[in-house]
Amino acid sequence: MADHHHHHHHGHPPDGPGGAGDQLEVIKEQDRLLPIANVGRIMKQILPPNAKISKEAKETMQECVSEFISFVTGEASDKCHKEKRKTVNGDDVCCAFGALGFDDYVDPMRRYLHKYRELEGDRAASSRGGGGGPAGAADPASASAAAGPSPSAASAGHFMFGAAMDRPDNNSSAGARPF
Amino acid sequence: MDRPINIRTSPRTPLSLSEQQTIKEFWRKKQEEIEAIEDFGEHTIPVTCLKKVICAKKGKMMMTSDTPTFMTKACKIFVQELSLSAWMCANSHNRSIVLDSDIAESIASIESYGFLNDVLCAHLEKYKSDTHLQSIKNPHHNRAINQSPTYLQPLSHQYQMTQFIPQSTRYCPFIHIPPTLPQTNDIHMHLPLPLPPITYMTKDLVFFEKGISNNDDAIDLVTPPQLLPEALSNIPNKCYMCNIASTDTYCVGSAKTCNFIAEDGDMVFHFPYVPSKPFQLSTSLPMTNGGCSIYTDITELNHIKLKVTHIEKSTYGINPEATFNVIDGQQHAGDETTAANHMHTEHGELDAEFVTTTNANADDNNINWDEVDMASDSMLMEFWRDVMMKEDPTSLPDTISTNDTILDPSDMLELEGCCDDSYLLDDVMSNTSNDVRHG
Repeated sequence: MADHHHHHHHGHPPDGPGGAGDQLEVIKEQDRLLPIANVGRIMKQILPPNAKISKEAKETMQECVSEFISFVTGEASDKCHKEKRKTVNGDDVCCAFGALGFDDYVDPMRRYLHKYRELEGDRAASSRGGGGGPAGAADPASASAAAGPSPSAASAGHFMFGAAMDRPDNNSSAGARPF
Repeated sequence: MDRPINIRTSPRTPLSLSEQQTIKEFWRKKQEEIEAIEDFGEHTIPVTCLKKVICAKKGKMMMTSDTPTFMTKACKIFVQELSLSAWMCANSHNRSIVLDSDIAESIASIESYGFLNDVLCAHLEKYKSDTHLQSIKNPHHNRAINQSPTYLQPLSHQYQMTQFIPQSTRYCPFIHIPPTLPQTNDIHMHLPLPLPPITYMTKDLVFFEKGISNNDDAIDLVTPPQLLPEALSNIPNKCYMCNIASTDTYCVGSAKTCNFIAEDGDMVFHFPYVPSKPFQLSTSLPMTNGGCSIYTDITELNHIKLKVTHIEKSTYGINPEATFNVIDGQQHAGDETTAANHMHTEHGELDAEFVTTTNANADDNNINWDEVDMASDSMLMEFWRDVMMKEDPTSLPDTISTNDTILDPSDMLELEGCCDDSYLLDDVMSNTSNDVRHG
């Protein structure tokens, strides 16, 4: 994990020179975390307008929310295996929230799941009547996915520049002759 | 990667009443938002990105179509709850910017977020690594400065060099002036001297640096800035030594009255017409003004020789100011006569060196002239008496130690006599035996 984390800050941009290994590492690194632009936007929505968020705070939040996803889905998957099922569903994730101590999440997320199924049921009913429903629902997700990688690439460039600034100064020569 | 380390070393105080109210309000608002949802296709986190995160961390996992959508909502609530708590931490520190330390503090205060300790440990290790890179730079820079004396001297003389540098000694022990001088207004003297021992060569390189930093009329030479020591303030330097590595000549003289010209590997010692110090005599002299300036410089050279003896004492590792501090009390006696002021000027300069030594030990290079005034006039007498105990009394004239009156021509002749070749030869032999003793 530390290796991935280290590579996240010093990796080349997707278009930069490097071997296939570096390219795969960069791609895998991007998949490991949610886009920092989305994370930053979600953070700003809840904070006052005068609040500022440091870059390190956004990076820490990226790590935390990815760990949160892994933690909860892992618990849900374990529950499925115990019950001899192969597919994880929303109810499993809700139970995972309760089992892991996220009690505040249980009621809101159960309500979310209930409304989701209500609306999906309505959409499924209308879908039987017409053929454009599912295609229309897929469009926003595709658009969001297309917009996702761009800010991450820009951020990667910024990280590389920041890393260069922290490099120790090699120009100071200790062996300068007095005369 | 699993580690039992818990970052909750300094647990945060329980949430205040207002903070608990803020969190309760947060969850109530989230419940309302969920009730108001009309379109589940709108996501602040792309579903494809979330799926990639799950696959990257947990491998392939089969899930129903509602699960990724469900998780994006949960992630949003997670990020916002943690951000809100971090914002309250930033406010408690009177900041309007949220730092990663605020997030760590929030995680430590929420029990259900204990699973994030590993993430914070990894993040903290990265931060320490960056800090280490920052700290490497500064010691490297300090090491570059610290290596300068080591580079200039052999290791066997390291202790000896330590004794020299804090005392601001700036004079070369080899001084030679011909006994007879032509009486002209402009005097050019060629002063080739024998090559001194290597140890003195290395020391003089350090002295040159100090001389440059203290001298108002510093010679316009290119000196590496890393090797220049920190300049001592409030200390006028009337005398200085100049040495160029390519030459084997040493010259000492007043900064105001001497000009050095390097020609063919030698230094030309040039005396201008009017000396910087006024020198008043009780009787008129049958010599020209040039003769007066010569005698003035001879007087200064005698005082310089006094400090040269000081250098020799330092060579033996004796701490001169300790001797003076023990024997001598801090009392100052002023004298208003011209000759006494002249002597006091030289005496004050010598005291300034001692005060500099004391402050150098305390790593403080700012000297208050009140401290210089606190130095005693008898310190010079104590120093001189200490020198007489070690040196042969016959090689030094008595008029130097007891002279408080105006110098007359006969005294000038005696001063001139102390600069003969035999004295220089004795000094060279003494240093040679000293060098043998160190070997």
